[in-house]
Amino acid sequence: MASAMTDRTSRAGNTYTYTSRPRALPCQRRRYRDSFLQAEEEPVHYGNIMYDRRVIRGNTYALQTGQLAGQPDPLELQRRQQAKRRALARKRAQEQLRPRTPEPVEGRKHVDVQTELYLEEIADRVIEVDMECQTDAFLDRPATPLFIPAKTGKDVNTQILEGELFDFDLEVKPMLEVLVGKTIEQSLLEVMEEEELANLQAMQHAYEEIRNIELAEVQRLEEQERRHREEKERRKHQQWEIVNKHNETSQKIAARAFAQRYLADLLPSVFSSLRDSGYFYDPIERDIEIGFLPWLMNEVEKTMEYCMVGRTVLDMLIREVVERRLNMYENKDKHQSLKPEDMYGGPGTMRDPTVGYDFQEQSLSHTQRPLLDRDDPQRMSYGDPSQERKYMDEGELLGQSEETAIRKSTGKDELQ
Amino acid sequence: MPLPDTMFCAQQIHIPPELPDILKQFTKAAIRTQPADVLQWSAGYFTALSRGDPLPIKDRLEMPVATQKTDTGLTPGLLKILHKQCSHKQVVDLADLEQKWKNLCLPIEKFRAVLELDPCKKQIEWIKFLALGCSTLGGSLNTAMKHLCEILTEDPDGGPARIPFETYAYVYRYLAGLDPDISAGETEYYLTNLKESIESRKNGMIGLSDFFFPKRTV
Repeated sequence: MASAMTDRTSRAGNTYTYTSRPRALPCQRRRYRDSFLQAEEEPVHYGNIMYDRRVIRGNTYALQTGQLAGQPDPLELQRRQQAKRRALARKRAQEQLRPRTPEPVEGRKHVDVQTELYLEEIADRVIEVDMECQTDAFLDRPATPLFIPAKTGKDVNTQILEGELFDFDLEVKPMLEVLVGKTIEQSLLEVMEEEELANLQAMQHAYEEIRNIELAEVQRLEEQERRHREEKERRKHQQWEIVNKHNETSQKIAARAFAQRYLADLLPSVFSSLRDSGYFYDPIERDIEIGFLPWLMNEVEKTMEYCMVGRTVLDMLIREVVERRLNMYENKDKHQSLKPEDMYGGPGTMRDPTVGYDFQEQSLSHTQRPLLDRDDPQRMSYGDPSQERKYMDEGELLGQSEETAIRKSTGKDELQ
Repeated sequence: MPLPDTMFCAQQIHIPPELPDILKQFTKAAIRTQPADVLQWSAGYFTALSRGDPLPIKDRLEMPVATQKTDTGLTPGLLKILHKQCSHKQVVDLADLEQKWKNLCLPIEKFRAVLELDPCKKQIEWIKFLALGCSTLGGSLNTAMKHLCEILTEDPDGGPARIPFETYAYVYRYLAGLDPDISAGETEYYLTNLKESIESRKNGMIGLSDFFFPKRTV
């Protein structure tokens, strides 16, 4: 190995090379167990791989490739040279310190010689011999032989009679102690335990009993309370209903009284309005009004028409007569005719039918008497409504007061 | 396995397997019953046990009351023991009863005093004796009935101690009959009232709450 080292350091090379002389690899297997006589092995240079310069650490893509084409780094060179110098210096110093045997005398030579009792052949070659050994298959470890100590002491014999070895009372005492003591202790414990449990149970039962009683009491009171409450509710309800009814009744009474008063006038007003509308009629009066009076009016109208016709005829007659007379007068100035006689005759004839009608009227019914009674006082009244004036105009020439009186009466009736 | 003739070591001592159990039961009974005379009571206990009778033990540990009004040592617990022992028969022999009384370490004079309330020859109806015992326990008729209910009931302790109404009525009549102050009419009236109040329950049982109103300490 030393040679290998020198090889390495001597090359101040541009390239890193490593060569070593071929050497026999030391066998890793220890040949001998405890070999005190083994030659000292060459020290194997173990190195920590972490600090081995051959192992590249770090990133490999940015490596310093070192000196390409063998250009020595001057810094590196210098360092190597310095290291070399230091090593040399160290070695020289050590050599100087080490005591050495003196140099041989002139003409003599130092020779290494063995000085031990037995000479030893020093050779590199190790003597190797193969040895074999084999154990028996599956042999168990044999049993330990009984240890029988050697006999020591003297032999002596004796005889035991009955009852000597064993005293019952003595022997039994510890047993009895245990038996009785334990029994008492155990039974005491058990009794206390049982007593405690029984006490607890008794208390529990007593409590339960009290609770049950109280529960029953509570229920009873609750029941009572509930009943009271229901009773109260019912009474209240009843009372409320009664009050309600009272109110209703009073309202009804008030309403009825008011309605009565309000409608008190109803009947009279209804009757009066009905009466006003003419629903209550005297049937006879109505009958007269409906039946009799129109007929009367018709008759009156007819009579009037007859009168009118008669008057017209009379007028015509008179006119004719007058004309004739005039003609005659004009023709014959001497004839002073009998005119006034005709005049009186005419109305007289006229009067009869009207009087006849009057009597007809009387004969119709009794009720028309008051009409006639009324006629008499009214004959004198001339200042009467215009209808009479009209009739008056027509009869003015003749001075027919009786006729006009009759007409007045009929007109009055009509009016009424 | 019979004991070997010679025993050599403690391991050879054989304890019967039932023994510990018997001992334990006996000890517990003794602790609970607290008899005045342990020997006497133990004799009674084991006699009853061997015969298969009900044992003279209290079910619950009863603390002795400081001031015993009756001064007999007779407590409801003891009466209950007697009841347990004798209730299967309707009529008990007086001799038998006396023996049981003694086993409970109760004074015998008191026994005679109780019997004097209602004298009888050789036998007595058990329920009557029980009623008499209850009456000697407490002051009034009501407390006697209360004790009776508690003794006779099948309900658990502390619960409503209910007994059939007929039993109650019978005992009440009997005790009221013995008491010269209460008239028969009053008794009947009281009983009818009670009967009405429990009619609703439909099981014919009367409980403590129906007739006994303890003073509540608030």
